[in-house]
Amino acid sequence: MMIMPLLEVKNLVKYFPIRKGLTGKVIGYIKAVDGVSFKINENEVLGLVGESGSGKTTIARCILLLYRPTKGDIIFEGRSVLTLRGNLLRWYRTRVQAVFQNPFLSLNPMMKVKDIIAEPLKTHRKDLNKEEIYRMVYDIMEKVTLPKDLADRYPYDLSGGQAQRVAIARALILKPRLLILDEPTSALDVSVQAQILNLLDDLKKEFRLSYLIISHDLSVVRYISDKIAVMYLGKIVEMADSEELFEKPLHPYTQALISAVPEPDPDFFKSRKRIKLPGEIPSALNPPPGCRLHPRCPLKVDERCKVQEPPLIEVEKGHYVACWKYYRR
Amino acid sequence: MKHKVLEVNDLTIIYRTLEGNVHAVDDVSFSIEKGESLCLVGESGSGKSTIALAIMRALPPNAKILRGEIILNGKDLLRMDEKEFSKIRGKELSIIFQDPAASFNPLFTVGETISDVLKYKLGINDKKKIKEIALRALKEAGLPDVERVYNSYPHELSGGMLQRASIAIAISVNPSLLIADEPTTMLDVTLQAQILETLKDLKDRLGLSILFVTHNLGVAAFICDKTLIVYAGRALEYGSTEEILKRPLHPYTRKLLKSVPRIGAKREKLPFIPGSLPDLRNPPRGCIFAPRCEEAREICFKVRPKMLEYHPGHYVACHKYSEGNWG
Amino acid sequence: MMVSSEVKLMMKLLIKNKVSFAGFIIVLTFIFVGILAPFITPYPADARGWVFHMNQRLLPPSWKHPFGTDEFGRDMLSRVILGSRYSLIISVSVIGLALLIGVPIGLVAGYLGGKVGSALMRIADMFLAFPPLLLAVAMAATLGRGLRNVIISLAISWWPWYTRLMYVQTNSIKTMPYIDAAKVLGLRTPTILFKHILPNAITPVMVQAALDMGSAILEAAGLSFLGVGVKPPTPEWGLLVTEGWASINRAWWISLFPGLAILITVLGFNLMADGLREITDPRLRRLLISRGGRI
Repeated sequence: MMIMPLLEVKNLVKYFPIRKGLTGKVIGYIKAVDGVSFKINENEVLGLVGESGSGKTTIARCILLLYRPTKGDIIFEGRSVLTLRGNLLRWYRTRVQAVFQNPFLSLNPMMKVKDIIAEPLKTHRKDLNKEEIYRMVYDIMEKVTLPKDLADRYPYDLSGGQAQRVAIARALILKPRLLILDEPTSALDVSVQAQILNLLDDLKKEFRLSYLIISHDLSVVRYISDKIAVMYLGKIVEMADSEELFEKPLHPYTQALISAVPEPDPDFFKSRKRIKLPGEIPSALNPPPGCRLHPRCPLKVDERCKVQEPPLIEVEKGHYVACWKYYRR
Repeated sequence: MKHKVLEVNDLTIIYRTLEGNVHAVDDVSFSIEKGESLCLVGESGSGKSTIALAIMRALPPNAKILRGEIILNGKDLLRMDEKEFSKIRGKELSIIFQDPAASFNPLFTVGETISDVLKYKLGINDKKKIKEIALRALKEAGLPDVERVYNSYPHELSGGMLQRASIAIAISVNPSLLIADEPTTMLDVTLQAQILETLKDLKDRLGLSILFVTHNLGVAAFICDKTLIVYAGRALEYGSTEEILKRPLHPYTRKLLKSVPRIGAKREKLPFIPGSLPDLRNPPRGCIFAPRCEEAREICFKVRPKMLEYHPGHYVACHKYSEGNWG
Repeated sequence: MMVSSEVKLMMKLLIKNKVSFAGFIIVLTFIFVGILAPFITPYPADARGWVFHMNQRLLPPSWKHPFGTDEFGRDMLSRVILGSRYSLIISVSVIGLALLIGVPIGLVAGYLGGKVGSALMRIADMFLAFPPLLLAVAMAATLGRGLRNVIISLAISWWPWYTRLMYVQTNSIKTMPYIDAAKVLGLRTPTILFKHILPNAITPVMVQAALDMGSAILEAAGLSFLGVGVKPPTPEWGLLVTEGWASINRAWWISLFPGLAILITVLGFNLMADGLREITDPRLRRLLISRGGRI
């Protein structure tokens, strides 16, 4: 029996037009996301990893309906979300929530902590009175381990970790099914990052949540994800279960990415063999033809790599790679 | 004994604010020998950037250095007038910033910027020679196609290339000390790895002395010979990087190392440090870390621990390691 | 909504700067005198201007009449004191009205952007194309003399400036992550506009408004001087200056004292606004304020 995925992203494409002059003539497109598909099941965590310019944040913004996709579909609990209006749109807003990178920028500096957390309830639960709302606020504050006495403070009085927990509390108070976590710990210190990651892991179990976690930091993603998709220039190049991906990375880009992470262990650098990619990520305005990695690929590049784009194929059960090296008819 | 390039002694800095004085750096001492790299490792609010800014004499106007000396090649930078210091800045002391664009004026080409530095700091007037040195520096910094980079404006280069160009400027004057303030924080991991390798290579080949400011222990592990762990304005532990990472002594360092999620590790609960930074307007009387330390005893809240040499070359400021104080 | 600790902090900063504090005191005095004017004038009937004292015309300043008397023998001190009330009414109404029209339009135009936004801004630009005083004079001349018409004319030439400022502010605030968060939470557009954008965007507009309070007094005086302002014998300062103009050679005090009142009040607003601008500059604030002892 097939289980229906919670969220399905189908062949998502997002191009940003580049306009020039007074007439606003379109002179080209930034191909931020170029045909990406994946599924997230209930109570599952998908990690989306890539460097800047890979398109991972654009995907998140499409799912959150902050951008309109150029092509493709986003299906949540069996419904296409791109055409939702009125009550159904409000329903979607209560089911899918987000936590952003910098907690100090994602909280309105003019509002008290308790009002920030209460705001979603005030919007979507008109049936509740003030007392009930604030009781729920204090409940969720306890769940995310925020001390009660912070309720009357303003965001700038908080530490980074506390502010991020306020953002998590705000996202959770409507009891959503899916949380989009866009670099949730990159603005935090290491010791605080560990706290937030643990908390997210606990909350996932307690509320039966699914996460889409977006990060440039492989070790963070590894810590929390069940599945991981690696992106390069608007495409998924490899997708597999978390353990599998780190033990047996197949795509040369994944290998390079993993080998570039500095670990706080002196022996690590002596033993590791870094797979080097020359140069930098090219502009998404004119991505290279064929395989997008081919100008930087550490493997032997043949004619096919330069001309034809490799499809994302399942080479082992649940392990997908887009590289001609693994392609067999 | 080796020649000490930089010596920082008892440095104490406060920020004056309307809500009281913030004790940002409190009695920090360290030194860097020739050809050595030292990492200042700390989280936000640790004072690591304040220390770096003090060495560059670029503290914000509300900062005040209460005590201490910063000695570069035998001269105290804090007891020098602006004119004297301007001869040192950019010559004996060069800097790489987190944002490489900070090293460039967008209206000048990379080549013009380097030439200016060479002309005014080193007093070279021969145009051909200047270009020769500049191109060599760009090449040393790992840039391909140096002739093109030389003639490019900053906005025409990518972030990674621009950071390499700023490294080129920094090394072109043969500085006695290079200060690198989180130079790879804004870059992606693969780029970070490239830049770190370049810096390490330069250090080994040119014998550069580097003060590296970072929050990333992994970066420290890769590039630095010595490490100084700072927390809430105080130095807690100092020693060779290898020693500190393999045998951390201070409870803070231990906890910090454990809380880093690792690529190679099994997926399990990450230990973390409970609580948050102390209020630096009224820092605790004893050990600065005591309120968050699981091993803290009565003495830790009363007496401030001194930096003591526990193993040869490995210093720690914790009562646990001083005999007599710990039952 | 507005943070009380924030207000306290601003006061603290304001008092620290001597010059802006002086401005603040001048403004406070002006407001105070303006409110109490009818009760503190030595000669209330003279102040209102409906009496003539032909036996005490053009008296120079003395203990009895510290600011002297005018052509009709009225006590100038009383007239200047009551004049502060008219200046207060004009400046508060003009700026209030201009804010009320200008801010929402700028807010909506900035948030919506696109065609609607540009259309709104082009309308504002049309008003901005005229020199402000010229537009006000033309309006006032059409509407006729009188306090209400002065206020309307000035407000109409004033609002587009706030629209511009608000538009720019909104454009930068609307890209903040907390606005994205508000959208993701499914908040309605009016809530986003008035609860999330407005309070975070309004500060520079309010600083500008404080500065403009002084300019409004000055421009109202200008209208009076050009003969399209309030009706005589209203003791509006600009009109008082104008009335003394004819006899400036014989009786310098008639124009001098209302003129000084204008000068000092406008100066007060300027000094205060300069201080406010400094206080609200985020770069400066970062240096002065620590976050709960952290840096």
